[in-house]
Parts: sequence; C-alpha cells; structure tokens
Amino acid sequence: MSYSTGLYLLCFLPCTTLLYYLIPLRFRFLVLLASSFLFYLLGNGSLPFFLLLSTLIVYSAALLMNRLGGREKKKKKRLLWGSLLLLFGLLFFFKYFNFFSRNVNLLLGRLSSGGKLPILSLLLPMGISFYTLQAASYLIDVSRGKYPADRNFGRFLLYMCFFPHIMEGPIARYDQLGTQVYEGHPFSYENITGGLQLILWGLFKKLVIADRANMFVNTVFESWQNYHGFYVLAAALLYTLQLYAEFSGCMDIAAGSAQIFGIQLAENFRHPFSSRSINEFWQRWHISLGSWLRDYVFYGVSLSRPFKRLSQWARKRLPAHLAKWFPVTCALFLVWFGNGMWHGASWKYIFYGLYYFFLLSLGTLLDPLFRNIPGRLGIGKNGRAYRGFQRIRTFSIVVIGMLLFRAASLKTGIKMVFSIFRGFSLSVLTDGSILRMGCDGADLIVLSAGLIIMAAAGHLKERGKNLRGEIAALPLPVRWAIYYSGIFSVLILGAYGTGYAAVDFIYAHF
Amino acid sequence: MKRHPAVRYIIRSISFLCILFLLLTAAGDILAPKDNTHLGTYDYGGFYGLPKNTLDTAVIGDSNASEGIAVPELWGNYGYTCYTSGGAWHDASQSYRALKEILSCQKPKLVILETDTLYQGSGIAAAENSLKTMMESWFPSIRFHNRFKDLKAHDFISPKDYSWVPEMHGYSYRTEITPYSGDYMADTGASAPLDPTQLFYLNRIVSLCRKHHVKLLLLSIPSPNGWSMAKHKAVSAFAGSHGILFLDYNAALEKTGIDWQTDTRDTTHLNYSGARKVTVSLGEYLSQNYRLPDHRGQSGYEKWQEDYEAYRRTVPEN
Amino acid sequence: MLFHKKEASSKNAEAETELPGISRLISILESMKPGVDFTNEISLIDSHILDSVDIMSLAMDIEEHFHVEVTPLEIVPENFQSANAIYEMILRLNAAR
Repeated sequence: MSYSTGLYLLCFLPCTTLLYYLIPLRFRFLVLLASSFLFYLLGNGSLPFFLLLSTLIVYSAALLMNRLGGREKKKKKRLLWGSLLLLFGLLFFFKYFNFFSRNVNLLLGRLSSGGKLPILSLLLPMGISFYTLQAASYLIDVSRGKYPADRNFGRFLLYMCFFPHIMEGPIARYDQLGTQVYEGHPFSYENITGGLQLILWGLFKKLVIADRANMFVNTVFESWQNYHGFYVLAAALLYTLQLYAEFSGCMDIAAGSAQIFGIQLAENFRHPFSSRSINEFWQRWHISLGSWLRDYVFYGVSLSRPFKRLSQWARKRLPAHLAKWFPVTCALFLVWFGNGMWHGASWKYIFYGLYYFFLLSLGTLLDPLFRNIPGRLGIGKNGRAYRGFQRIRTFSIVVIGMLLFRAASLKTGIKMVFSIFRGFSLSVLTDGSILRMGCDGADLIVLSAGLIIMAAAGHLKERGKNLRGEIAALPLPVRWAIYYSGIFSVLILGAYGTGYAAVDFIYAHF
Repeated sequence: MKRHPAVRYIIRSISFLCILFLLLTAAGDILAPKDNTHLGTYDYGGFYGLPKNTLDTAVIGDSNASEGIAVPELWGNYGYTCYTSGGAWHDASQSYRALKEILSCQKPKLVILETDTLYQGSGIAAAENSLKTMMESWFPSIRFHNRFKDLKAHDFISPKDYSWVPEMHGYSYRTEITPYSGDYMADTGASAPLDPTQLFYLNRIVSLCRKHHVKLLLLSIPSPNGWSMAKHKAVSAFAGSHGILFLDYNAALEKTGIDWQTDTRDTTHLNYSGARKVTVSLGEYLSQNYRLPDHRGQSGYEKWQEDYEAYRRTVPEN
Repeated sequence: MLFHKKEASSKNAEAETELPGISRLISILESMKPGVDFTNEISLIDSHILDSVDIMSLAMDIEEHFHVEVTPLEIVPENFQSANAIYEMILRLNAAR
C-alpha cells in the first residue's frame, strides 16, 4: 500500500484519523502504533520483525549506556560500536550482501580460487534504509549526551515505525519527533484541512507531473541505445524533475498525513533547484539524509581522535592550504561514499556519490584560484547574472548526476552522458518526433503546465511566502475554487488508470 | 461559544463534499464517452446496443472469456442469444461491475463466469483494484478521466448514444498459433485459495444472480498458462459448497478435443481453432442442462441473424 | 613566552597558559574566509558564510590555538552565528576542562 493509492487515502487514513480523535488523548499514540503496524503489514507483506529487532537493540543499548557512569567511557564506546555494528549489520545483510558476494566472487574468479559466496534471494524489509539511520542517530545522540535514553518503549517504538515516514523518510531525530508522536493531540480543524491540502499538493506532483514525465523518461532509459543527443538530455532533465516531483510529493503526503494528527515532520526539500552550489543543493535536497551524514559521519569522523591526529600530521607535512583540505576531504569521502552506498548496492550508486565528492573537493581545492575571477571580470558576486549562472551550473551538474543515477548501470550511464554530444540537434522539438516518446501532445502540455506551477510555487516559497496560509486567507469561494481545481487536476489529469503504467515510488526501493 | 466553531466546520465540510460530488458527477457526464464503442477493452460495452430483453446468456470474465467462446456460433447452431462482456485483466470486482451493467438493460436467463477472472490479482493489489473499480462505477469522471485528451464539442452537448453492437457480440477473433506442450493440470499438491477480495466479489455475483433469478454457471476455458489443478480444486470447492455448476474444460480437455499444437495463440488464450471447439462443446452442454430458447426466425431477433451472417462472411464455415 | 617545549606540554602546562583573546579567533576566521567582517557579522550560519566544512576546519583551529576540545554536541548553529558566540563556546569549554 503506497501513499498515493485509494486504499491509503480513502480507507486507511480516514479510519485511523477517526479512531485517533475518538480515543482519549492519553491513549491516542496507541492508535498510531497499531495503524503503523497494520501499514507495515500491508506494505511489507509481513509483520515488522526486523524493525522490532533494530528497535530493541537500540532501545536497550541506550538505556545501558545511561546506566554506565562517566568513568566507564571505554565500556560505553564498546557498547555503542557493538550496537551500531549489529544495526548496520542487519542493513548490510539485507541490502548489500548480494552485491558483496557478487564482487567477491568476481575477484575470486579472477584469482581462480574454489570458494564462492552464495547469492541469496532476500527481500528488503520495508523502510530499513530509513529506520536504521533513525535508530543510529538516537543511539549516537544518547552516547554524546545530547539527551537521556528514553525508558518509554512505546514512545520509542512509535518514533521508529510511524507510518507516514516509514517508507521514504524523512529520517527523523528523536528530540524533534519523539515527544510529538507520543503526545496525544487535540482535534484541530486547521491541522486536518492543512494536512489534506498538503496531501493534495503532493498527489498533484506525483500523479500529474512525476508519473507523466515517467513515460518519456522510461522510453529513453529502457532502450537507451536508440537515443542520443537532445533525447537523452531531455530524458535526464525530465528524470530530475520527475524524481523531485515524486519524492517531494511523497514527503508532502507524509507531512500532510502527520499534520492531520497534529504532528510535524522535518522538512526534506527546500526548493533545491534554486541552489547556487552543490553544497547548497545537498542542504536543500533530501535534507534529512544530508544532515544525518553531516552530523553523524562528517562531524563524528572529523572530531574523532584518529582524525585529529591525521590533521595534525597534515599540518606538519603539507603546505597550508592543502593541510586543511586533505583531512576534510578524507572525511568528505566517507560522507559521499556513504551517500552513494545508501542509495543502493551497486557501483552506479557509489559512483554517483563519488561524482559529487569529486566535484566538491575539486571545488574547494581550486577555490583560491577561482575566487577572484568574477571580481576581475567586473561581475558582481551577488548580481542577478552571476547568481543565474551559478544556478544553471548547479542544475546542470545535478542533471548529469541524475542521468547516472537512473541509468541501468554505471557503464550505460557513462555511455549515455557521452551520447548527448552525438548528433545533438534541437530540430526534434519541431519535427514532431518528440511526440513519439511516450507522451502525446496533451501529455506534454499538461506536463509543462504542471512544471510551471511547481516552479512558481517553489519560487514564491523561496521568497518567503506561506502559500497554504495565504490561500486559506482568501475569501471562501476563491479558495474553494483553488481546492476544487487541485482535486480535479489530480483526478482528471493524473497519469493513472488505463493507458498508464502504475509507477512505484522510486525511493521506496531504497 | 464552544459549539459554534464545530457546527461551522461540520457545515463547511459537508457542503464542500456535496459540491465536490456534484462537480464530479457533472464532469462525468462530459467525460463519459457518448457512444459505447470504447467503454473498455474487448468490446466490453457492446451489449448496450442489443435490442431490449433479447439477451439470454451473458458471459463475463477477463480476456479468456472474450477470446475463448465464438459467441455467434451459439446463435448459428442453437439460436441462443449470447454476449461476452469481458475485459483485459478484469478481476472479480470488474466482472461484477460488468454484470451489474448488463442487468441494467437486459434480463438474461443465464450468466457464465469465466473463472480466470478470480485469479487476476491477489492481496493488497486486488483490494486496491476493487476499490478503484468501486470509485469508477460511482464516478465516471474517474473511470474516463483520460478522455480529457479527446474531448470535443459534442461531448458537452450531445446525449449518449449507446446503440453500437460489435459484429461478433464480444468474441475476439484471433488466428495466431503458438504451440504448447506440457501437463499443466498435473496435481503438484499446490493450493491456490481464492483471494479474500476476489471471493467477496464472487459472492456478490452469486447473490446478484439469485436476486435477479438468473442461473450462474462457472466456466473455465482451456488455458495452459492461466489454469492449474490447484485453481481447479479451489473453484470446485466453492462451486460445490454453493450448489453452482462448474464446467472446467481444463480438467476434461478430451470433451472439447483441444489440440495444443494448433489451438492457442499465446499459450494463455485460445485462437479461433480452439474457441470453435469449446463453443461446440459448450453449446451441447447448454442445450442439455438449460432450457434456453431457440430464437432463430423470431421477430425482434433479426439483428442477431444479421450479425451472424456478417460473422460468417468474416469467418467462413469449414 | 616560556612554552617552547611544545612536545612535552602536559595538561598542567596547558592550564597555565592564558586563553588567547577573541582577536586570535577573528584572525583565524579572517584567514579562512577573507573579506568577511567577522567583528560585526551575526548570522554566519544563517547567511551561509560558514558551511560544515568551514566549521570542522575552525574546530580544528580552535583546538590547536585554544586547547579546548570541540565535541559534536557543540556543533549547533547557535554556537557559530558570530565570533562572539564562538568565543563564548570556547570560554565555556575552557571552564569545563
């Protein structure tokens, strides 16, 4: 059961909401717990056994850690690393074991040794990539002393399995979500309507934009050998927009669902395409993953003892600028490798992460060289022209990255990137061949209109406008007209039903 | 003061939903096709054009139903009036909807349900599909939402004209051959229990037939890829416990004389060669077990004869 | 300055040194990001002047020059919004030693 199905929107969510507000405040979290279990059962096909296991590991480890005094630092450390090993061991097993086996077998094959690791047919427990990181963040925070361990198992369990974020995140932090999710919230008409509006917006992005763009994107990527030049560029571009529309749309449905219960989920997207640098992009795209990697990998590694020794060594042996760049780059390597790996067990994803790592490190390394060029050319760094250039540059880098991300394999991806430069011609826009790519004329018009609306909304929000609030302040006939247009756009223009292939949520597979 | 906001919210919500309902219904009138040629796949909606109260036998199910029975030959050999309203990948909820639509304009004496439809999806997917079917039957605007691309002026002003009937009365005539060899009906001990959602709609079909005093026959058309002994057992058990006749040609291939070297177009569906054999057998079965009238030569049934003659021009008797 | 024996520095020796003033901090910041008015800027994080890489670099410099250990718990926006905020954090960490 995914978030954009009738079953979720018309059965599961209304029933859960009704039950939640009928039960006394103190026990409301139980409704969420029960429905989250049901959601997991329906979505995963089996009960959340491994989720419970991870929850228990972290819950007990945190309590034990709190019980150990300040003197037993070594014990605490061993406990922390042991539990993290178990936690990530489970993730590794389900997600990466086959990748590991295949590559080891390849290597062993070359060395002509007899042993072979088995390839198991494993089904990934739903949400494991997301809840593992969540559990780890809680444990590490407790070990750092950020907050004490929680004795309340029900509260902690709900934090882990809460149905709006179990499938695709956002990856929550305990101090932000724990209390919220456990406290019963009183009925609020604004929360219900606000949540429904957000869900509607998410559905619009998923069904009208993303699933429609998917038709074009699929046509090119499924038989990439037949396409080159503009087609490939257009497919990469549309895929970037599709992924954004779908993932941020899903986040809107999740956040809207949570809001119905008075719970606020963390932001996961902040109009990323207005970013002027790759760094900024990753602070606006899949924010919860970026901040997890920053807080727990980057900071954790950079401020660790072995790492400090590395930087001291660097300061002694390397020239000043390199001395600073080197240790930070090592830490960043782990971050980006982690980012790539998290997305999937394949060289393609690892390359994807390292693609950004390479560009970022290069950027930092060469920064002293390029820093003064705009000034010397007489272009203001804060001028509109320069900002526009930065945005286009960042966007292009992202689109190439997404091309690699979507391609069937690393090899295919690289070939596709090069194929853009073969026979590139814009005449495909006018000779009608663009209409044979899975989207007919009407589809392209609807898609363009949807993209414009999405861009406009993003632009207004970037300027600080609270769109939902402003619409709610309009006179009743006007705002109802807007809501009805939204509902009708989704129902009539949505790319679902006969004539369209159902599109799975992309990030649900991670 | 405390009651007032609540009352206001309730009134607002209810009126919002009511207006939404009205708007959706109005949109449905515009979006619904004005003729019945493309109400679904496989000539699904062609029964609307049949002369009133002439249909005696309705066949519902998925693509197996549409490709498995050479409907016009039932008229040619027995004078039975029959129409197959099948649909690609139709599950029990969609077959149920087909039956409801047929009963809204015809009074058949017999309904034949091709049982492959009971295995079109299971679990959550089946539940979601049946919810979608339900929404579609309430809101034609959802069912035909994709027609926004084809809207023309007459969609807004013309009334519906559902007078079309396909020549072959719902039979989908195919001649390709893909030979099959194997024993797909071997008893492997596997079980294929009916999915709860499918079972729910099967029961609704049974009750609907009872309510309209229509006989129900469960039929399984030969299909190597589609059927199995496990499915046979499950459906037989249901039929037995509900006192419904179940005619499974897969478990009695010799009755039809099906030859898997020539009679299937893709190892799932029958081609004309296979459908003809099944129809001969089925016609015999119907004549022995049901008192269906022979309407040949009767006034009011001329269209059936016309369509049969047109059919014979396309598919010559050999 | 009496502390030329850097390799042999012990905790006692460190405790005896005076904590460098905020001017040292500002010179570190300026060499890291020239052109920024660190004396007056109060939204270093919110205005994206310093990013996470800069903060790590700064943390290492702080450890080297001020001899206090910056832990991950301290890496919050409030501690790095201005030179004053950073120096307050340093003072706090120094007192806790």
